[in-house]
Amino acid sequence: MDTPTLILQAVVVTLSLLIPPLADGIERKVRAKIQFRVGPPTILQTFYDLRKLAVKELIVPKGAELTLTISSIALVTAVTATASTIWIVAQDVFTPANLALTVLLISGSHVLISLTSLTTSNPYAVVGSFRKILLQVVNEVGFFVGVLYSITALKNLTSDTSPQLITSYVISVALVVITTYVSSGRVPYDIHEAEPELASGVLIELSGPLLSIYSYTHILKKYLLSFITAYLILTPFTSLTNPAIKLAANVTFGLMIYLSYGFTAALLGRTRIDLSLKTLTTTTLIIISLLVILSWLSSY
Amino acid sequence: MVKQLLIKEGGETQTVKVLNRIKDLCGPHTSIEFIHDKTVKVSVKSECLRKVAEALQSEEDVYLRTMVASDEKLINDSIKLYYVFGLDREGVNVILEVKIPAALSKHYEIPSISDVVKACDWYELEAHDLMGVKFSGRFLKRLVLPDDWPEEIHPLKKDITTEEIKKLYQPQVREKALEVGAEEVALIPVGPYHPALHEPEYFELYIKEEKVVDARYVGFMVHRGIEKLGESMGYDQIPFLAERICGICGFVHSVSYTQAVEEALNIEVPEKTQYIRTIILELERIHSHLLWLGIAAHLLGYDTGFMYAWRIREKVMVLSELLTGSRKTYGINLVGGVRKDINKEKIEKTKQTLKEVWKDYKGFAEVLLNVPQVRRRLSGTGVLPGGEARAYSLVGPTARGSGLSRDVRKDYTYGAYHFVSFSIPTYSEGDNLARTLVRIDEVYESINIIEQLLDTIPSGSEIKVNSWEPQPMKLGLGNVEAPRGEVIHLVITGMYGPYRWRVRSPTYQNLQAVPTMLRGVDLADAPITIASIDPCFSCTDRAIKINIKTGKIERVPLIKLSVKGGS
Repeated sequence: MDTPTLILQAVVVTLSLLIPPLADGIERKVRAKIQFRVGPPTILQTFYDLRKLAVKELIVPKGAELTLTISSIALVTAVTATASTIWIVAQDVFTPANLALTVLLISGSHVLISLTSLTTSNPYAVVGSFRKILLQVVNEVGFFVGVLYSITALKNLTSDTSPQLITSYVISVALVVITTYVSSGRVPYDIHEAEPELASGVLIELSGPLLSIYSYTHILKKYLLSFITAYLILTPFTSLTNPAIKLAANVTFGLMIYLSYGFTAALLGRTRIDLSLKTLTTTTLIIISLLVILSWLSSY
Repeated sequence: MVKQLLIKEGGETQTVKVLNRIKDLCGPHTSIEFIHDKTVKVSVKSECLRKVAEALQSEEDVYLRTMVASDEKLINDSIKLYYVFGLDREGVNVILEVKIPAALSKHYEIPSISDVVKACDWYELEAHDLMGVKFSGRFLKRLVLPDDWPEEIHPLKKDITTEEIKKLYQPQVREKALEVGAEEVALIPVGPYHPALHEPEYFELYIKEEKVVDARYVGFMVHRGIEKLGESMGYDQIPFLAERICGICGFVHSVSYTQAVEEALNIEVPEKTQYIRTIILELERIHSHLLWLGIAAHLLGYDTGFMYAWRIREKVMVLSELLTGSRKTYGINLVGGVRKDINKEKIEKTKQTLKEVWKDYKGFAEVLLNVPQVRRRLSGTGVLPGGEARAYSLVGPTARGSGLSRDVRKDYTYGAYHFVSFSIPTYSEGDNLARTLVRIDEVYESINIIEQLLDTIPSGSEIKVNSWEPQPMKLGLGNVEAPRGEVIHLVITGMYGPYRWRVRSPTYQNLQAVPTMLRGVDLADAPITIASIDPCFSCTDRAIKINIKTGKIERVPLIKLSVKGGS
């Protein structure tokens, strides 16, 4: 890799760490507009919120001393996952090893966030966390199947434009859209918000710097998933070769997807949280079955 | 009116039937006194109370509206219990008066009727706590007072003043916290979280997998002593206090109180006063229902609906300020009148605003009911059958959502409601959706009522009586159909202020049915089910600890809990 590309990627990675709170600020403003509210004073509000939490006194829940360590590792993993994904997209190096690394980092980040929930001494938060973990397990399967299928389809689309392949691409991208939406924790899959309404949840247990780390990791994850979705949708319609322009287009489109998820969430209510798992499992299984059938058909 | 009812053409009225039945049960010499239009007081001996309660409970359209314990030692050397039963069909109140000789009150036991009239459960416990009345045939436990309250102090008794109570009882929170080392408190965060509503309450939900198999409510976290406080205040000071009973629909309490005093003292208020009170009551219903709809939407994760409902509500709050001078706690009520008139300019402005509210609200309600998650989660959840609603003497939208068309605006009419035409939305499904639909429809009805009243409001300027004279020991009832159901105030008059003032809010009546609604619902639907009665709790929360071996319940202050780290 040449030096200018390395510098460019360093800049993009740094920006990518700053864009998620900005995207969150814009989403909050847009949602406020939809709801005829003023909303936060500025689109930078999420930065202020995170900062304010970060400088507060560090209070670790009794019996949950591991929370800080795990949250910090989750944050580092999420940052690494973001940097790695940007590098893969910019360089267009979708080798099996790179994909495996990305899968590991993204999953690792999710698992660590879930572990944060399990380290608290609040039994209700733990119960809620298990529900979230189950949802995540189903969702991650759907997400990675969707990503692998769509990347494979993208590679093959350059030489093969058969209806089966195009359909396979469209369905797999749809699966990615669904799973990234679920993973973003928005309504009706906002279990971290829904659980405290019932008994208690992990967000109840965290405060100050811990909550700041948790929130930032969560926002980063939401943005990263939007970025991946943007790449998968954008690629067939563009033939950009300049890495800078390609990344800029991807970042912009990722931002749009991020906001469109926020817009969708504003129009929905929350399904019963025990049903959300069943609905997601059914949907994921149906789509995966379709993809398998299409693959089988295209092999003939 | 009651006397006329006795000789109604075409057969026996319900009132006559009920009174004759009481005479049959308690003897021909039972004292029956017509104290007001549509209010009959029947003196009943404690021995036949249960029989009378059974007879009344078996009657259709009869329910327990309130029960009051009154210390009348200084007046007639007794403690009295007044059980107010409502005869819905004829709008008549039958008050059963049970006398306990003061000299025997420490050991005298009144037979409990809580097994016959489910709604009486809390009333008996409260009378036991606050007045020291003993009931036989039931388990008596603390309901209103804290566990560490001195055994022999009953705060509503006349031989103890508020100042003496303050000296005799200080909450032991600090001492208990010190015992366990409160200095460690700052190190441990206790989240201000809540299981269901954004208001203090405590429910124990017993869960099997995702289903609620049983539920228990522990309430009365704070007893504010408002009734006791009211007994040391003047007649016209109390409306201000009464409005502070509820932070959302306080006006219903001041109107109910003033109506009770006006009935007791036979004060005829000007017609325009009735119009003004009714208009404000309906405005209050609109903003309260909008508030609830917003909260319900929020509980169902539909925050856009929450924001819309409250945006529309804001217009109603501004309108309330225009008409009364305040967004809340209006302070316009007096015994015998109101302080603020409504002029032509305000009438026009009100009409204009209501048109806007109607339009916005219609759009909002249609969208809300068409959000798939909202509709699905309200439908078929938190079911309360009509029979249970009747057994618990439920009131308001909670009763009307279970098919009981009970509404005191029509059944025991007051204010200017008899000048307007309106319907009572009733749904028979008994689920959360039915209760929601009742409230949604009621907002339209309220706008309709206000518009009719504004069109016909008297043009004169007389909005209060010139003077009135208090007379001691007169009994009056005041009722208002509040947004959550009927509010009923009973006043026994004194010379300066009320001798006894009893407030019964709708949540007191409805809350007892919530465990029934919760049984069998999915845990995820418990919050909306609890919220579906639109409960109105007091202002703080504590946790409780149950000793499984002894069954003893101890309320634990959060400060103490925090030191234990939630364990």
